[in-house]
Formats: sequence, C-alpha cells, structure tokens
Amino acid sequence: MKKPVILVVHRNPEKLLQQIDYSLDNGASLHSAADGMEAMLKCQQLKPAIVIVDIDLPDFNGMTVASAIKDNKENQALVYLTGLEGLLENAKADRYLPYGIPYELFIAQLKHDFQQIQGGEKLDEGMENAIVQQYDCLVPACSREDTGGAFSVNRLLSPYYHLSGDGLHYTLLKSDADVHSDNKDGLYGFIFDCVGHDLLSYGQAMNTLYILKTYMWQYQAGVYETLDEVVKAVNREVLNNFVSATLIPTLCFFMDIHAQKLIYCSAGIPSLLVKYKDHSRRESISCRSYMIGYDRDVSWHEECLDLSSVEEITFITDGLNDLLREKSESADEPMAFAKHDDISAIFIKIFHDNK
Amino acid sequence: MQFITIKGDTAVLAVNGNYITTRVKAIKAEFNTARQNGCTKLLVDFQHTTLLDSTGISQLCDFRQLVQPGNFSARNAHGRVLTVLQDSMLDSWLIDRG
Repeated sequence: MKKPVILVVHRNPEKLLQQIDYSLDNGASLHSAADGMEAMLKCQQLKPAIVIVDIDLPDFNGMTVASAIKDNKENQALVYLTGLEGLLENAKADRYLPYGIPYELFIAQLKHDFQQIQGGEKLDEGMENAIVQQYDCLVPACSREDTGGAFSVNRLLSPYYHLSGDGLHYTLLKSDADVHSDNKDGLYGFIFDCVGHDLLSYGQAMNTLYILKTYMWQYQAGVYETLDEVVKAVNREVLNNFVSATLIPTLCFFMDIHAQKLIYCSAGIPSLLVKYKDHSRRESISCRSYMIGYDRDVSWHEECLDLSSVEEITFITDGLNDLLREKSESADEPMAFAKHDDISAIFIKIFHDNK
Repeated sequence: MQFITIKGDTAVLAVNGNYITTRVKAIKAEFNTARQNGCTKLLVDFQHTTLLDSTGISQLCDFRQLVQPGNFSARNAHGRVLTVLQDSMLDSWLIDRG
C-alpha cells in the first residue's frame, strides 16, 4: 500500500523528519522543503496528505505559504502551521500550533490526523464481532425493585483498547415462597481480570466467564459447599485446559441478604471495598491470596463479612483500585499516565430500611 | 537497553515508573536479548517502579517460568508495587522482605 506523504517545510527539517518517522512507525513517506517556494512546488508534485509549515522560513512567512497551499484546490493536504507567536490577518491552515508547544502534543495531534488519513483505527471483522459479543455477555444492572427492595447492583466493564480481558457476572436468586428450594436466596457473582487487551485475552476472558459461571451455578446448587472449593476447581480447570498459560485474578462472592452476610473468596488482585453506615470513605478489605493459574498446589480461604452496618460493597479490578488509591492519602507518587484499563467493578448498594 | 542490564549470567530488570501493559512488549524484547546473551537468571529491581499492573505481573510470572523459579528473584518493592505483590502472595519473590 502506498504510504501517505508528509511534507515538512522548515529551515532545518532533519531532526523533525527523524522524530516524525519514529513516531509514525515509518508509516509515512517523508519529504522536506527548505523554503516556501520549494514547498509550494513540492505540494503540486507530491500531493502530500499533511504539510507541516514552520512560520520562520528564509523566503516567505510560513503563514503565507500555508495559506497559499490551502487556497490551491489541487491540494487536499491537511496543513499545520507551527511556531506561531501571533496570527496574521487572513492566514489559513488546519492546525495552528503555537511556539513552544510541547513536542508530545504536536506528535499526538499528528498521529491522530495520520490515523484518520489512513482510514482510522479500523477493526477487523473478528474484532468487531468479539466486541458485540463481549457487550452481549454483560449482565444487566438490578434495581432495588428487582431485588425486592433489599439492594441494587450496578457494574462497569473496562473496554480499554478494543477488548477487555476483564469479566464479571452475577445472578440474583429469589425463590418462589410457595416452591421448596434448597438454593439460598441472594446474589451470586464474580469478577476477574485476564491480562491483555486483544483477541487472545478476549478468548481467555470468554472461557473464564463460562468456567466461572458453570462452577458458580454448581455452588448455587450445592455441589460445592464453599467458595474456596469453587476457586480451586476453576484453578484446576484453567491449568488443565487453557491452551496458553494465563493468570486470572478473581473474586467470587455470595451475598446472603436474609442472613446479612457476604461470603467471598479472593484469588489475587481484585479487591473489595466496603462503605459502612455513617462513614464517608470506603474501606479496602485486604484479600491476600494467589491468582488462579499461578500454581496447582495452592489453596484459598473463604471469608465472611457481616453486612448489618454496611451500605455499599464494591468489587474492583486493579486498574480502578489504583485510580482510587491515586486520590487517597496513601498514594505515594502520582501516576504519570492516564490509566484506563482494568477499571471494571460490581457495585452493590444495601438498603437497611427494607421491610 | 532501557530496562535490562546484564551482569554476568544475571539480567537485572529495572523499570522506571510504571510497569504496565504499554511497556511489556519492549521489556519482553530486552529480556529475549538478555537470554540470547547468556543470561540464565533474572533479578527484578523495583526500586524505581511506582506501579505494577496485572499485565506486568503476568509477564514476570512468564519470565519466572522461563528462567526457572530458583533463578528468579526481586527486591526493593515499595508502595503500590509492594501492595499488589502482597495481595497476590507474590512477595515471596522478594529477597529483601523482612
């Protein structure tokens, strides 16, 4: 495929050309012009997709050059004007970049425009289908009315970089009062985080979702008595049957609303935040345990939390936990990037005025 | 190399700042280079690492398997990195834990 042409108009273009070439992964055909006249001639000849014009040129003002390029209807180029300290009347360009603008901002804009010119970040059919499937699998929120007034449930799934390795599920069990059932009423659920954000991690996440659902149904039906047995069984399944090795930080839970208890079993990183009545802050409950897939010969422990004074429970993956810690007093150093992966969660609000 | 220094048969992996999803590809490439240069052991130095996400942990587990657990160790974990290692019981990797 023919590479889009970028023309750099600058007195000393070499350094800028190198930086652009590196930033665009050698994806553009780069050319330079040392003055305005050469720039206008090369525009006709090369039909560039992007022209970057520095204001300080030896023959003309860069604004004149940019405007002349924009005026010529033969040119379809996106025109950048750089090094601006002011703007002459009637100057034309598509991007006006002031003198001293951080290099990273310039490159970010250029990369964005370049991707648009290349047709944007088009996903292949497999990825498109997987995204639809991922969101089809997302369990709906439960309102207070759905649960008979005792609690409500909401959730957040992080879609970072097309496909998330995160997964979550919950099932609300409300027995018919007239029908005898051994199943305990309440909310059964889990949250996990397969590493990666691509079709491979998506495949692992879908398999993990299926396996965890299966074993949680068995727990619900009384095949497994405790959640640590569930986690151990899932660990065995993952180690025996997953094609590639993977680690799956997971947290499984059962909220017994009649008994006012939360039973949970943590396997690695996902955390549990609890907000008590009359407390403004959420308290993090320490969950020290191995991740699923780490080792065959490890064990887990089921824990129980009394809910009689709890207003909110939040199960979160590590990304959201890091973001929450960032805003807390315990953050030792601010993050130097905008983290937006692994920010999945299940939020449960408990209503104690329920009759 | 940006992340790995070779000291005899040991590759010392030190990530400045965030050991996260966006860096694992470059770290993997350097790790492979170190192995090709004869490194059979890996020491992870977390002194200047401020964040370790689940992808970073997964990569370290892969490296640990590749060099064999006995040839893998870590040190100087603190703050959020130490917390995440503790949460996932991986602080047993640390040779300098109390």
